[in-house]
Amino acid sequence: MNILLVDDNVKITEMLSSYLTLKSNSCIVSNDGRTGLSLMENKQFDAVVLDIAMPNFCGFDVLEKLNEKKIEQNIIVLTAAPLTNKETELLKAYRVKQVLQKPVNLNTLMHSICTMM
Amino acid sequence: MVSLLQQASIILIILVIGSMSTIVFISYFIMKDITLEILEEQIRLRAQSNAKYFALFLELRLQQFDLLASNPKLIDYIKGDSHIFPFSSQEMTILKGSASIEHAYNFDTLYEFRIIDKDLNVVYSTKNEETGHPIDINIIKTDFTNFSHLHYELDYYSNVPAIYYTVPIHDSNLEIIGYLSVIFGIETTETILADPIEFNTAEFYLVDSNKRLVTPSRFEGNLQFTTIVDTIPVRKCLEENLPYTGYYEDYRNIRVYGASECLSKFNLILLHEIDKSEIEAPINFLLMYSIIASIIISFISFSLAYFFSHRIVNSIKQFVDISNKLSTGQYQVQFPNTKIKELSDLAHAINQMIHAIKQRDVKSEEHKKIILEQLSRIQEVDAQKSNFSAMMAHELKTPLVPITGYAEMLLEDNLLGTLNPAQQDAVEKLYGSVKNLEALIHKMLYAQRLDLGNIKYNIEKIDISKFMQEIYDENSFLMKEKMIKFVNSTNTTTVLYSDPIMIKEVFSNLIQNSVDFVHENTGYIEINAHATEKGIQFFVKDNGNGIPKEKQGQLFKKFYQIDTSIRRKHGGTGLGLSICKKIVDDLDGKIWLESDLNKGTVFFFEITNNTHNTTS
Repeated sequence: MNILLVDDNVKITEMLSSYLTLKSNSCIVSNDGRTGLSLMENKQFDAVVLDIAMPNFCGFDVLEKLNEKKIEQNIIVLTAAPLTNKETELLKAYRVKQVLQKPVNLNTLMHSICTMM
Repeated sequence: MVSLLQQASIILIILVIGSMSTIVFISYFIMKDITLEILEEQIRLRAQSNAKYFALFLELRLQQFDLLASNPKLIDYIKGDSHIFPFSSQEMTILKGSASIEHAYNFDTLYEFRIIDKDLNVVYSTKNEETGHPIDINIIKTDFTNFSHLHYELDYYSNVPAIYYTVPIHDSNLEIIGYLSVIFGIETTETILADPIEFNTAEFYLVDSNKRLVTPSRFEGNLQFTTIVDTIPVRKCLEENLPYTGYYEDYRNIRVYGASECLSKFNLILLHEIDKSEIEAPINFLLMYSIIASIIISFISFSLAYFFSHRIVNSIKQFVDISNKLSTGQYQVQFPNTKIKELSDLAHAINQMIHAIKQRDVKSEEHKKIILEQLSRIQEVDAQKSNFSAMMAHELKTPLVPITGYAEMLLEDNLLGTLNPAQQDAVEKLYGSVKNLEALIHKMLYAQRLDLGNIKYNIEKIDISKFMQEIYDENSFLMKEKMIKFVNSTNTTTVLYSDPIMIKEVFSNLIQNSVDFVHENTGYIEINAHATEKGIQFFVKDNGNGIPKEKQGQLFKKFYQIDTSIRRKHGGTGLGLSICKKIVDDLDGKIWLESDLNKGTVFFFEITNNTHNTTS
């Protein structure tokens, strides 16, 4: 499966990509929101794991642009901070498939990606 | 609702009009009775006295003629024995009244004087042309009988009312030989009957036995002997020969008050009358003036009363207006001074009150400002705190992601190669510590969420014995490091309806605390549950440092640590007990502790049985 990982924390993307690659997926990594967005504009991924809290161009900015440009991606949001009600509503409006809390159990993440397919 | 002014006005109107009209009518009726009594008495007395006077006058007059008729010279003169006129010129003058002796005998109205013989021939007449001729009955209008005759007619010549008097003349043998006949004016009687009092309608008059008016009417001319006076007093006199006094309708059909006197000897009735309207006029005037006076007095007293009550009511209205303003918080108003002492006192008192309220308001406004400032500062701090914990949670969780991730990957078979047993053990310990750290962070978030009321409680049936064993098993690993003796002394088979996950959270916090505060190797921790009336009472007992009494009350407050030195010695967030308190409160229970310094601490908490078995 083609999986895009968008997170400003390099250690997280490294760990996740090595795990997912070991689980026989092909992973593309972006460590900032803008690059992640341009990748999503050019290619349809089987799954996108998107972090919310990122400097300069955060997860919500990415989702907003995707919504504007009417680009559909299978997005799993991965966040450390608890979400407010307003944010949950917003994610729903952007048709986010799933929200997972950090630190995520790798089995849970794998399971989420598989069920989304 | 009726206003004070309206009430006062109505009462005043009723009082004033009522009292004035009472006074007026009482005085009217008293005055009317008195005045009428006096007037009527006067009328009656005047009628009587005039009647007597008139009778006396007429009596004397007639006696004069009677005296003349018995004069022997006259007898001779009629018989023809003497041709000398029997009366001296002096006597005739007296009869004619030209030389009046006094007013009452003023006979200037002797119209005719006749001497007639028994064959009714005129022997002598003051009207010379009649002398020597038989009498003309149209002129003399008299019945010649054996008795003297008195009646009242118009004089043939002068056509004025006159008194006719005829006296038979007898000789020495008492045979009738002739008659003396006189006609004299009635005007003299009018002098007697003239009205000396100032009444416009007062009238004296005479009526003869044929009910004819003898004297001229005061009101209309030429009524004598043509007008029939058929009134009550006339009838009473003619039928019963009795005087009458009272109200009746006179010959003009006008209501009068009158008095009568019967002069039956002269075939006359004397009447004295005054129109009822004139008699009552002064009384009506009295009534009218009284009414006018009472209206004026009523008006004045009402105006005064209205003025005063209006002033009072106006003041009260001002009070109401100002009170309304006060009730809407406009304290800058002041009661104006009034001229009424009591109201002025009241206004003064209220003004002082307003002043006091104003000052209090200023103070309370200052207090409010201070409180608001403090509140906003507290809210600001609270918001900062919330933001800080959210940020901390995020920042702390992020590095945990690769740690847990790699540990999981290492522990998963055939992913990163196979570990030897020592490596396996090390990674497991690493993973356990990371999970502890994660739990710590989780606790911080948990406390925050509990504060915001975001946690849902799920009530289940809990088998206490089994439940306590689970607690024991799940927390046993914490005891390894400090070699703590861990005991579950529960000996009950009771069940409890409550939220097991939440109770586990409480236990986990309390046990973690005890672990932190007991000493290595000698540490002892006991957990227990037993049934109470309301539900289950749990405790966690340790032989740690104990908590000083003065610090115990503060223990359940958020972020509270006994002191910094202990915090350094024993880590922890200070959130554990506040989470416990919040959960126990939410589960309708209570939490408390017993502690002795250096002996140890027991934390008790009692959870109420939620028999409704519902999710709250």
